[in-house]
Formats: sequence, structure tokens, C-alpha cells
Amino acid sequence: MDEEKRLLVVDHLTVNYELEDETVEAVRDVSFSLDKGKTLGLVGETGAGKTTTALAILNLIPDPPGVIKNGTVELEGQNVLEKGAKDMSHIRGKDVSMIFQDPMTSLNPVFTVGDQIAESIMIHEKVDKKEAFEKAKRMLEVVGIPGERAYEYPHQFSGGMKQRVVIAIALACNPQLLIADEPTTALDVTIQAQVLDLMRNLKRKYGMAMILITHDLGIIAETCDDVAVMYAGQIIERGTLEEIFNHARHPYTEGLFNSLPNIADRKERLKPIPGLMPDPTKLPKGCAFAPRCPYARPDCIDVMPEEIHFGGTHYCRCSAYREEGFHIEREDIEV
Amino acid sequence: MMAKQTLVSRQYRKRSKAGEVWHRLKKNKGAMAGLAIIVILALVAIFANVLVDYDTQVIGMTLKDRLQHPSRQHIMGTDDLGRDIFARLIYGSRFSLSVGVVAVAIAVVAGVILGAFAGYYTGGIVEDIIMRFTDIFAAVPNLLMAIVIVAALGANTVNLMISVGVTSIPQFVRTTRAAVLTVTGQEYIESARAIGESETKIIFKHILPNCLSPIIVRVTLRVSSAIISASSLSVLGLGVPAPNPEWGSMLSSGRAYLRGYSYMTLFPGLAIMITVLAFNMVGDGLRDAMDPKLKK
Amino acid sequence: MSDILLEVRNLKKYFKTSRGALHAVDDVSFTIERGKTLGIVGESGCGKSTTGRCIMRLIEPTSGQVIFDGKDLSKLSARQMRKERKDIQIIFQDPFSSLDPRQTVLQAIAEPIIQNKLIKGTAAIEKRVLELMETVGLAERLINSYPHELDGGRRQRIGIARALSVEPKLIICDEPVSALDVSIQAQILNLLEDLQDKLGLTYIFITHDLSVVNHFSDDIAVMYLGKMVEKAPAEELFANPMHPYTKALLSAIPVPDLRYKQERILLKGEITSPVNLPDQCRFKKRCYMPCEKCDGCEPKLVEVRPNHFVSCHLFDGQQN
Repeated sequence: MDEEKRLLVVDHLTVNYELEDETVEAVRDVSFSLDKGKTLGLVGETGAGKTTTALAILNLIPDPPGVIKNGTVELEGQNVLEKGAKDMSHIRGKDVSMIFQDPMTSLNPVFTVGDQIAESIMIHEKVDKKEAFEKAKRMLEVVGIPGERAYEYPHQFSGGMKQRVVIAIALACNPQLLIADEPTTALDVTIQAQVLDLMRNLKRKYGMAMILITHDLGIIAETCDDVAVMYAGQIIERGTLEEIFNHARHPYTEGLFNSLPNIADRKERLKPIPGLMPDPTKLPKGCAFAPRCPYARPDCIDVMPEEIHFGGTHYCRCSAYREEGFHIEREDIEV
Repeated sequence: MMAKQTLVSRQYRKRSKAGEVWHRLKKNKGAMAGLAIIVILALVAIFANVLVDYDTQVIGMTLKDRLQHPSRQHIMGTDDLGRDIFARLIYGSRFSLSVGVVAVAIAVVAGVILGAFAGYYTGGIVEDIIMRFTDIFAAVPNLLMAIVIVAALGANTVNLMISVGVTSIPQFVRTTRAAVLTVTGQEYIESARAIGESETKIIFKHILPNCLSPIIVRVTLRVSSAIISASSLSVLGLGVPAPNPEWGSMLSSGRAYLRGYSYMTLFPGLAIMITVLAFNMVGDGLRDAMDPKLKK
Repeated sequence: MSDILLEVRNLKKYFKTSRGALHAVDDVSFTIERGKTLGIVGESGCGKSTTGRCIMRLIEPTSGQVIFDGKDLSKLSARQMRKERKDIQIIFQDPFSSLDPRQTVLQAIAEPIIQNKLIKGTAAIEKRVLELMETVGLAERLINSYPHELDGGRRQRIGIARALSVEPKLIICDEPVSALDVSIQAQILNLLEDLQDKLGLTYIFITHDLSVVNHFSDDIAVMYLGKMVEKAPAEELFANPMHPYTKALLSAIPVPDLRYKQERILLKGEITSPVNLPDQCRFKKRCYMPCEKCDGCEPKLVEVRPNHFVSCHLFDGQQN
């Protein structure tokens, strides 16, 4: 693969939250890379470590209690985890931006939205206040809000509009990488469609890379090029969109798909994954999914599964594949 | 088979919510130290007559024993009338603690009832009346208000308790109202209504118990300020009347001898400080223990 | 033979606000047959939750009738209504705030039984609680647990057990799975389905998630700004949506299947607040196919095809 195109390389990232009497293993040995202009979807349930991974990329892990135990995060060849606070503030916003889930709380209520966008521009570009504000207006137009509304305060905007403002702030300095953490979860379906459409268009226009964190496989299907499925702090399956959706290999990925109501066959019974997410303070030595896995072998819980590669970038962590001829029930979808 | 039916729920006994709070509180060294001090103080107050002989060491003393520095015989020295300061301090704990506790009890009863009404019947005239009165009360400085009340009713221990208690009411009204407001908005209140419970039952069974933690915390913190208020009033001569050994009035009488006989103010001052500190530490500890999310 | 359990007629709920009356629910009517599920779909602020709460009078409706099992609930006094509530139960959205944090699982599930004096005696009540726990899939050992010790899925099971404990005829499910993770969501949906088969329950299923409602409901009602804009059997609604809003809503669902490609209808703007509405179509501002009649008056709900009701001027002349 072309080294030139590599934007982000996360290598063996391990993050713990060390609480008073227990340690939460939030991210366990996560490695992945992202090329310029591509979109990676991080899927997983609550507590899978998606947000912690994203925060680590921005070197924003709250410390204490968060401790980066191991690993590197290289953004354009520089390890952000070694950067000091001053260097990071140059990188954040300029090279990487993040959009958070709740648009209601990520804007400061006492400043106009124009000021908030302009502030981000002024930190990273040598422009005066007036110029920055003009650019802020242009950014609002880009996200589909009339420029005059730059003089208004966040409470004068609706939820979807606020999320557009948040996107405008994030994109104000043309970052190379945008991390969007559940950007549409708090929005209604029709608004979600608008915001996703906007994000797709902007991504195309500016050629930036994106990491999209979500629990919604439908959003992944529409937005991403690559997918990483996380469970209990690990990436348990990774591949292209097509590989994950049409040729899923890991039993958990299969379980996720089976849990969703089938829009084509409404009477089909759901097949939920039995049991619950393991307690992140008491993870088993081996595969964390083994207690819920219908294919689990007796030793699965004791042996940490290794990456099994299926060609290209597609791999999964499942010990069952060491056995010749093993396959999950879900059938491959040929297109 | 039917004869010995045992309850399944007995098999799975576990810590109650209060038990869990205690478990967390136990880990907080400051709070435990504070609690130990409070317990010791309470024991001292109860068994004051066992610890010292008030009749000989205080009442039986004469002027010739006045102003003696701390010695083996009088470990904290004697005051300007020859009374043993240690003995007075021990007996004084009865006044200081009881004033603090009773005053807060008055404030809690009145404040919680008013606050609960104001919080549950929001938007109505009840809330308006209660809250406006509370605002007016809170606008007058506490000490000034207490002075006015004592001045009007006359200076004695009971009036001191009442005046300090009344000035603490607004805080409890506000705390309770805020807590009731939050709890009333929760879905489990609606859920209780959905199964057919009456409003009174909902208030007493679901709303008030869930408002307890902020109130309990406020109580412990408030006891300490009540002790300070009571002492301040005594310093001004409006508290427990002489010759009763209240810490505040001891402090006050020592003021004239501050130069040569600083121990006369030092020991009562220390006693007040330690007591207040102990209650504050327990209050802070309780707040953390009752709401583990608040930590860090 | 139709066996109608619930009939709602012209239900209205206006809230007073400083800017005027907020039409949370405006003239909603529908019926549900015993043992069936009616899904109510809509975006936040469309009045779907208020409708559910008005039916059991947790919120007093401004006007309209609710006829449940032959009785007109709107005529009952508060005291009579408290007794009647037993037959209509509700499952709440947020499993974190719908349980009293000071009650154990046992106390939470036993409370409705004791309140309605269904069973007497500690041992008998406990036996019933254990039965209910088994029905909803809660392990016996959790009987003395507090809600904060349990995850969202288990809490929602407690909520379901509580609702079931009084043997209701109708359960209003207000977004029962939207706060849960996908894998847990499927567990709860299956549980609700099984309970319906086993106990013959009738559901009103309120949600914003169309794929869930499609899977779960017999009939679906789509609400917009307090009005019901379309109502049809689930299959019919998905196969043949008529109201422009329903079409947009359906096309907005992200489908987790790469084979499934569809034209997306993007709506302009956002849902506004239903305060002081003029007499015109409420959807007009966002509609992508408005006609001149939309400014005139509000469209009425008409039966365009058998059991398929639409409220849009485009279908005015097509009454079945």
C-alpha cells in the first residue's frame, strides 16, 4: 500500500481507566490505519471502547483516571501521544476535529455561533477577528445555514441546526481527519438524513478522512468505506464495508446483524445475542465474547484469539477459525 | 411441603442502600475522624458529670484560685473567677451540642415540610407564598435575624435554639424544594401513578425518601454553622445566660484577659473549631458517599 | 368479527404556554382490536408520548373520549380512574429513571400487586414476583438487587414485570427499547412479542424507530405536530406510503444492507413547535409537493383505500 496516502496509524493502543478499587480495560491492543480521504466506521455497543479510542487519537483521555498503557497514535507520521498540551492545541482543530454526540451541550450558550466558529479559525490561522468572522459566515453557508444567522445565539437554533453549527466549527480549518462520535444519535430520523447527507457532501468536497463512531449499522452502510467492529475494548473484526456487510466472519458481527429487524421481512423473528456485555473490570483471559457466543469452544475463554486474515484488510479475532472449515451460519451475500 | 415455606428473598441478603453508603463512608478517613470526634463529644456531653466534678471544680472554687495558668491540677487553667476551664468546657459541650442539634431539628422539620409543598405543587400560589417568604428570610443576614429574635423573646437557652433554628429554615426549604423538583420529574413517579397510587402515598413513599441524601448532608453541615451562630450570640451576650458554661460565652469572658491569659480563649475556641470541623468533615464525606458520581 | 378494546375519539391536549396554546395532540382518533399492536410513529415533539399518557389519564386530556373495554374513561373521577389504571399499564423509555432507586427488584415488582390488593401475604406475593421475574427473564438471585446495580436491559425487564404484575389488558410501550443497545433491544422486543402471544396482550407501541415499529405492529399511525397524518396496516404502509411525510420518513431510515438502495427524500427544515397553528396543513412548510389547497384549510383524515387513512389534500377526491 502507498505510504503517502496513510493519514493515521494507531498501533497497539491500550487504555485503562484506573479507578479507586478497580481497573476498567477500556481499549485493549487496538491497531488500525486510515488512508487520506477514507471513512472508517467504528461500530460497537455501549462500553465497547469506541469513544475512548477516538479520544486517544486527539490525546484527550481524561487523566486521571485514564492511563494510556501502551501504543502509539501516528498522525501523518507524528506520534500525538507524545505531544505536549501546546502542540496538541495546534493539532486539534487544524489536523483533527471531533464532533460530539450531543449538539445541545457542545456549544457555549453565551457566545454567538459566529463567534464560536471564528474563535476556532483564529486559533489556527493568522487572521484578524473581522476576517475570521467573515469566514465563519461562509462556513455557516457551507453547512446550509444562512450567513446572517452568525449573529444569533445557540438557543435560537434547533437541534439539527446546532449540529450543523458544530460541524461548521469542526470543519472551519479544513482538518485532514474528522472524528464524529454518534453525530446523529440525538437527532430525529429526517434530520439525521439531512445531517448525514451534509457530512457526505462535505467529505467529498474537502477530501478529508473521517472516523464515524456509531452503533447504527444502517448509518455505517451509507457512509463508510471501511468498518471496524469493536467489542469489550478490542477490534474483533475489520474489513471493507463490503467484506463486513456481505462476508461477515466474527460471530459477534453476525449477532449484531441478526439483532436488527429485517425491513424486507417484517415477520421474521429477531435473533438476539444472548447474555450481556462482560464487566470491563473483569474481562476473561481469552475471548471476551465467548460467554455469549453460540460457536464457543471450551478453551475460547482462556485463549486470547489471534487475528485470522481472510485476504486484503479483512480479519477477525476468533479462535474457532483455527479449525479447518469453520464458518458462521450467516451466509455470504454475493452481489 | 407447605408447612415450612421460606422466602427466597432471604437467601439473597445483601447490603441495603444505607449499608452501602456506610461502606463508602468508612473508606473516607476524614469523615471517619470527624465521626469519631462527634461520637466522643456526644459521650462527653452525656457523661460530663462522671468526667468532672462540677461542684468542687467550678462552683466550689474561690477567687483566690483565679487566673491560674494550666497546671497538673487545672490542666487548662482557671478563669477570672477561679473556675476550672476544663470542667466548664466539658459541661459546655452539653449546651453547644444541644443548641446545634435542636436548632437544626427545628429548621429541618419546618424547612422540609414547606420545601416539599413548594416543590410538589409547583406553579401554584402555595409555591409562590412559601418561596417569597423564604427569599425575604434569606435576604436578612442570619446573625442579625437571630439577634432580633433573641432580643424580642429574651435571652435564654430555648430562645437561642429557636432563633438559630428559624434562621436556618430558608436553606432547608430551598434544598428540599430543589430535591423534590428533580425527583418529581423522574419517570418512576409517573410509574407509581400508573399503578394507581394516590398522591399522598407517592409523596411519602417515593418522593421524600429519594430527597433524603441532600437533606442529610445539609443537616450535618448546618449543625456546625448553628454551633457557630449560637457561640456568636453568646459572645454578644445574647445566648446562654451566665453562669452557664457555654463555649461562646467562655470565649467572650476570656476576651478581656487575652494578653496575659490567652489560654482562657484558646481552649473554648479550639473546642468550637474542632466540633465544627468534625461536622463539616462528616457532611462532606456523606455527600461523597451518597453520590459516588460526584467524586473526581 | 372485530373485538375493539380501545377507542380513542377526537382526543385533544393543549398545553398553555406563554406564547399561546401548544397543540400537543390535536384531534386524534383510532381504535385497537384486542390482541393487536398499534404502532405510533413520529419525530420528537409530535405528540406521540402525550397521546399515550392521555389514554391512561396520566395527563388529563383537554377534550375527547377514551373508551376502554366499553367504559368511557374520560368520565371517571380521579379515584375511579386509579382503579381502572390497573388494566392499562405503561412501559417507559428510560430504564434509568423509571425505577425508584431505593426499591429492590422485589419491592418494585411487588408494589403494584400490593397497591391493587391482588394477592395477600408476604410469601404468596413473593411467589408471584418470582413467577413474573421468570416470565421476563430475570434471574432469581437478582431479587434483592437495586436498579443501579443492573444494566439497562435488566432494568427494562423489571419495568415490564411491573407492568405485567397487575395483569393489564393494554400496555402502552413508550419507546421501550430506544435507550438500549442493539443486541439487548432484540432481546426485549422478542420478550414483548412472546408475552403478547402468551397473555393475549394489546399494545400501543410508541417509537421513532420505523424499522422496529414495522417489525412489531399490526397497524401503524404516523403523527406529525399533534396530528395523525396517516394510518394503515403495517405492510400496506411500508409498501404503499401515501402522505409525503410518511414517504420522507420511510426513505430516511438507514438500512443495514448494501443491496438495498433507495432514493432518499430529504425534507427541508425541521419540525416546528405546534403553538398557535394557523388553519392550514401543518406539514406544508417542509412538504416537497405542496399544492394550492394546502394554504386553505387543514386536510382531513380520509380512508383512501380499505383501512388506509391519509390526511393530505393530494388525496382529497379519492375517498374510498
